[in-house]
Amino acid sequence: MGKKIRFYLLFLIVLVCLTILAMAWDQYSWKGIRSDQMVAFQKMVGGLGMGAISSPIWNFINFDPRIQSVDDSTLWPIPGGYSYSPDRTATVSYFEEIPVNQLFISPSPQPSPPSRYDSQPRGEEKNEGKSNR
Amino acid sequence: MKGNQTGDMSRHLNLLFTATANILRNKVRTILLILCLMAVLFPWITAISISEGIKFQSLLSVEEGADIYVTSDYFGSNGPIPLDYLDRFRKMEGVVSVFPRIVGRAYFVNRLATIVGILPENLPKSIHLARGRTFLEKGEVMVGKGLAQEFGLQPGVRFSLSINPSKLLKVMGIFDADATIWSSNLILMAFDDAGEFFKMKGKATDILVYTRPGYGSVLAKEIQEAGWDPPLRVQDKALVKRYFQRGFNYKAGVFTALYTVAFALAIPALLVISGFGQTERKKEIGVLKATGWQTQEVMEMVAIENLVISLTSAPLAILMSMVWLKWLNGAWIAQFFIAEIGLMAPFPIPSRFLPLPSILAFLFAVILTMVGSLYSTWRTAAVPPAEAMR
Amino acid sequence: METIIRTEKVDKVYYRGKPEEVRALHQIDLEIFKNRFVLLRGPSGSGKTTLLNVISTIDRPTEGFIFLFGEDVSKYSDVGLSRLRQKRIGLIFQNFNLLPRLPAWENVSFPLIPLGVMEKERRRRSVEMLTQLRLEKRIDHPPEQMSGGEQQRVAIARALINDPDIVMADEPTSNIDAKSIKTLLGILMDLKGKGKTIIVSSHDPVFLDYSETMFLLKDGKLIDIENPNDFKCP
Repeated sequence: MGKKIRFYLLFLIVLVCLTILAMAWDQYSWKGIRSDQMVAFQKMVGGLGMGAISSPIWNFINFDPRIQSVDDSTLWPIPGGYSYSPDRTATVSYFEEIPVNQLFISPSPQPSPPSRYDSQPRGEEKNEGKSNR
Repeated sequence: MKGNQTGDMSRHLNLLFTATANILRNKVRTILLILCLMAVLFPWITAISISEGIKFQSLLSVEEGADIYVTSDYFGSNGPIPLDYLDRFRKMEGVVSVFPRIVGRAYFVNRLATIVGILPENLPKSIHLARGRTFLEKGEVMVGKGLAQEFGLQPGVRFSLSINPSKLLKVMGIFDADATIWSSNLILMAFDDAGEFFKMKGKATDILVYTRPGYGSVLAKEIQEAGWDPPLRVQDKALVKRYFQRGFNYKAGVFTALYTVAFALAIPALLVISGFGQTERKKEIGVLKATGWQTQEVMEMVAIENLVISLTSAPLAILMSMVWLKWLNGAWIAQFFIAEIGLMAPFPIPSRFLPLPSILAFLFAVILTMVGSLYSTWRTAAVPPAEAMR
Repeated sequence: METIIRTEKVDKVYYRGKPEEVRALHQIDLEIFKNRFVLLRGPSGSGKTTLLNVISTIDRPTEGFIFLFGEDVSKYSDVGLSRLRQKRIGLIFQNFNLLPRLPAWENVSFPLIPLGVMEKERRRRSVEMLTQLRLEKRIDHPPEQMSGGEQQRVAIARALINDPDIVMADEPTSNIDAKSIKTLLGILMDLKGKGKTIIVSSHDPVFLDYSETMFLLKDGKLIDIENPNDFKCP
């Protein structure tokens, strides 16, 4: 057996073992510290979120805004019917809601740590002309 | 008998070494094939592992949530529920505790945020926050790391939203990024504050009922059938879990089906790279057959070549996906699988690398390469060697 | 005298039933005895290579029977034919058919791979064979770095690695120089001296003085002429 073949087969064995080990480590890490934070959070809010969305976007399946203008399944710990979005990995298309700026930064009555909004709210600038639907 | 077995073993080993030598000899072809397979497998593994990560977090949200969720039936949809029900539910047998909750949404600049109002007594004594503290007084809120990062929010910043401009809210704490992806764009406040904010005092979006073990379904049925006016919508943990499993299986199934189509489309590309009908390979097979190799041995060598290439590609794709998701936190790629997170996620991308998808990835690679070469090899090996060498 | 190869009414037709049908062999009956130097002679396109392919079992006849070592191999399965070639027939092709990028010793040794002979032993046997053919300096060279004559000797070494009973060579002189032809003849005669049966298909008159049996082919048929040496092969 040539040196190169021996090296390649060894590399292959190491690669497969490394992958198995990495997967085992991943499995173990999910059982560890991370879940404590999640448990505390979910206990606090009484169960929240199920899909691959971190903000409550509009999720399209069958949509008639005259009947229900927002898809509350994204907010709801219990998804509504089949308009359900456990993740968007398979969603072929979806509507993104037209953003409406609702933020007001009030002048602080007491001194508070500086915020970017105190001088120039980035979002307002970004969203100019789109708001006030 | 033993001699035969040893001979067989040596033959298989010889074929393995020869196949590996062939792979190494055709470096360009091998590298192209491995890269092609990785390009096909990597997005699939990434998507499935993110999906599994979210599934894990979702299951946790169901397990750690309430046993029963009650809302008003508002023309068939969920509607706000008066707080009068709290006492009625508390009196039911098997109920441990009952809490109201408000879950709503509002735009924070151009970003939709989830607004959750809970009773201050529901705040855990020790919750790990990235910065600041939990809310204690009226008007104080805690915000998610995503919002804080995007808009530069810090403890002490005050803001109000156009739903109720008179309701001034003050950021007191910022959630730790590890606390599920759904904390990212969250504004958490006291229940009363949320009621005031949405101008819905005395009402909750849902009432959470915690029961003694085994009472969940019975109590849900009891509440459902009690004949309230207006009627109530009741969903228990088992039902949520069913939706959760059905939803995830459905979505993962659709995604895999779509991806299988992509895999199928990749086959012709792999056929070209793996040298389908290549004269040199045809001639080589002809020479092997002419010098005494059997069709079965030629097939075995080609199958081992594909197996070795698949064994290289699948783990490399898995490791690459792992590095990308764990170390680079899914930079750029995660936005295709988790909505609204942009280039760099403000929270750790949940990803789980389970054995089954990994085995499937390997099998996909094997099928792709085998389909690409076994049939053409068999066709060449099955004809008389003189014809193959021509 | 022991008959080693016998054919009965062998036909080989290419593109049968199609307008471009070619009858490469027509009713070939021949008998070859053990330890003979046999020459298949004829002009280009006479069917020499086809006949050699058919009797070496790397091609199948359209009709007729082929008996090798007393057995009708026309009925053999693909596996049976492979085994037969592996153990008893050594082939030297016109264009050598060496595998590119493979060093000489590996080109010689690959018929041993399916026999389960491990690498060390394969190398030992190949080196021995290459040394016998005076290629000891070319053991680790790929065919691209060798002359035609050297490549042919590697092909001969490959044909002999399994110690076959019959060695068949197709137009062995067409791709080598005069010096290499001389060496080749020496090797073939040496093999004959070791009891092998040598079958050469060639139109080159250089073999006329060495062959003990000659079959003349024209348009796919065996022909009889009184003085074979007068047979012209353009």
